[in-house]
Amino acid sequence: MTAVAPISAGSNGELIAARGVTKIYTQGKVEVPALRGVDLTVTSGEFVVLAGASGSGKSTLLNLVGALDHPTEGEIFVAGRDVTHLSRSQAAKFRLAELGFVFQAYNLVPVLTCYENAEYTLALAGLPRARRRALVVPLLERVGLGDLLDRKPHELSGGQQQRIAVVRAIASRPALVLADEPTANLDSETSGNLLDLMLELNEEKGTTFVFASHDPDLIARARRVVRLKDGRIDADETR
Amino acid sequence: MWKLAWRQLLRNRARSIITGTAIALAVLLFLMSLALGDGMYGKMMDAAERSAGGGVLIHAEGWWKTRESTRVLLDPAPVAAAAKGAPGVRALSERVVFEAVLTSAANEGFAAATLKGVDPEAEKPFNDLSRFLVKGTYLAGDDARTIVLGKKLTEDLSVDLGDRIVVRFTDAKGEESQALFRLGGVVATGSADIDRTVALVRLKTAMDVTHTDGGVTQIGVLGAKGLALDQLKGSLQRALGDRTQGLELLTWREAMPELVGFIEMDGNMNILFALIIFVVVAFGIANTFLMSVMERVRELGLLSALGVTPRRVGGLVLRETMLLALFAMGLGYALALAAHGYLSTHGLDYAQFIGNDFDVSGVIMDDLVIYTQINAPRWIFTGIAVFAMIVLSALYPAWRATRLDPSQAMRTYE
Repeated sequence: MTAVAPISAGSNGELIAARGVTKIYTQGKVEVPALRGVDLTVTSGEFVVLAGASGSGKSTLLNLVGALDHPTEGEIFVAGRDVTHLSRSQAAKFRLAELGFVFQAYNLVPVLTCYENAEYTLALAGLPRARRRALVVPLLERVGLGDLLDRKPHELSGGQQQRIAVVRAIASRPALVLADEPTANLDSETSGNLLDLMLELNEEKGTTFVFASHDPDLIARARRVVRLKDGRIDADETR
Repeated sequence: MWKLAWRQLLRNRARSIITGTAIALAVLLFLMSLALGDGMYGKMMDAAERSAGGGVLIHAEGWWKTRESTRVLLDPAPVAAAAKGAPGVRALSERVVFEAVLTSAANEGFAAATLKGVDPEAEKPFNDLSRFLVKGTYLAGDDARTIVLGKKLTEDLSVDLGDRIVVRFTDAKGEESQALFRLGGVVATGSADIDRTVALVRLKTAMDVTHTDGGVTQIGVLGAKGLALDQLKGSLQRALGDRTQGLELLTWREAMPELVGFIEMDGNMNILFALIIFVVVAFGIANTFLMSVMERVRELGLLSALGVTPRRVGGLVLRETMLLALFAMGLGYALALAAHGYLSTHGLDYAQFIGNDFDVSGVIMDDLVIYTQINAPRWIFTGIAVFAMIVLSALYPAWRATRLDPSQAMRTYE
């Protein structure tokens, strides 16, 4: 069974440590820098928003921290582990064991039910069926989806789908959840409820959340806002 | 992962049904091709054995290769008696076979033919040409000098019933000789080779005119149904004992290896055509699954982002292929068994497609109702091979799935 125990911060309390991270995309013969020498440290238990306009590099930074991509230069440590040079397979195992992910849209596997989507990473990690149910059902009930367990994603609203994605991200109780524009396609009420849920988890479980977002409501409620502009950190504000 | 693979197949039902149907039909065609081929092969081998003159042919040593007129089995009676008593022997026929040149006593022209002295009754279990009689009688009546010729031979010689035929040959003493016959019957077998060369006379008459002094050139032996040729040959060798001195015993397969090769090549061609069908189907399957992967870039990227390793992503595509293959092949086998259930009892009449009879390398095939036969090991091997081919066809789409970059795939959301 793959370990699902939450990762712990490094010895100095740093959960994420990015040093001189540069990412350059190549489109044909044109090089497009997305990040330019970013340094960022996130400690355990933080609720951080990476804010900035489209193209500022916030999603790219989130992808690099989540080992979905490799930086062109620099290095990134998550809980003391260098994720910069992981192979695809190692990166997938790292994500399964250590992270929770929430994306902007199309978060769910269309052929799986609400419950099956929510328990998917636990099943992948090899948890027994009963244990999975014990972890997932209370969470789904908590986000108001307890009576929709057998629904397929296309039978749910956008907000309900995002709540399932959040449950899936936190079901294995990771210390770090990465969320890329999780409220972008939601109305303000649904978005607010989702934020309430994540803030509760942050406070109750100490789960660290790192968002990439330009949603003003989300930014307003974050405890730390890291603003990116043209691939560089423009401001880092802790409230 | 199996559950996910199964649901992916159900998700795009139309595509799965079309691809599955293509696999099932290809399997059906392949298996029916094998079953009919095996049925046809059995008939051809049987017909070839009868056309050759028996399962085992007994001659004076060296006669088969040289056809020298002096290599005669001089005292055939004890040999024939011993052979008749051998276990597994169903029928036996003595023959006198000489190469000859025929001319019409009245007309110009000549033709080469094989003069065969036969006992019409004894020949019936063998290649009984009386069933092809189109004119006159088949070595019947009081006239010992009656001769039956192939239809094309009568045309070449411009002769008709009652006409006199002069047959020239080298006799058993090695002397040039000739004999006069009267055309008593005409056969048309449908085989140009046979109809142009066959000249049949009574066995006793042939012995007299070729001066064999009661000897024969060939004894044909048919074994019991299902008895292997080698077993029949062994049985004859044991029964003949010391009498095999100066004799050659050849199975028809040994005597006519080129005919065996031709028939086997014909069977292999069937398999080759069926394989070509499958290669085409395999490309279709590869294309279908590649499309399926390309359509699901975002979804497969999501799986990867959630922690599914590339190997497992590729494994998902292979699982989908295997599930589809198993169900479709199951359907194909069920359809093939149903078709076999019908065709093994009712048969398929090839005469509807190719006429009433035809010949393969001189072997007359006049019973063209082919009954399917199941060769279980071949069907099982076919199943394994087809399954492997289908899985192989999905390897490239699966490999493409393993190469998906999750960050690129997730970017397609935007």
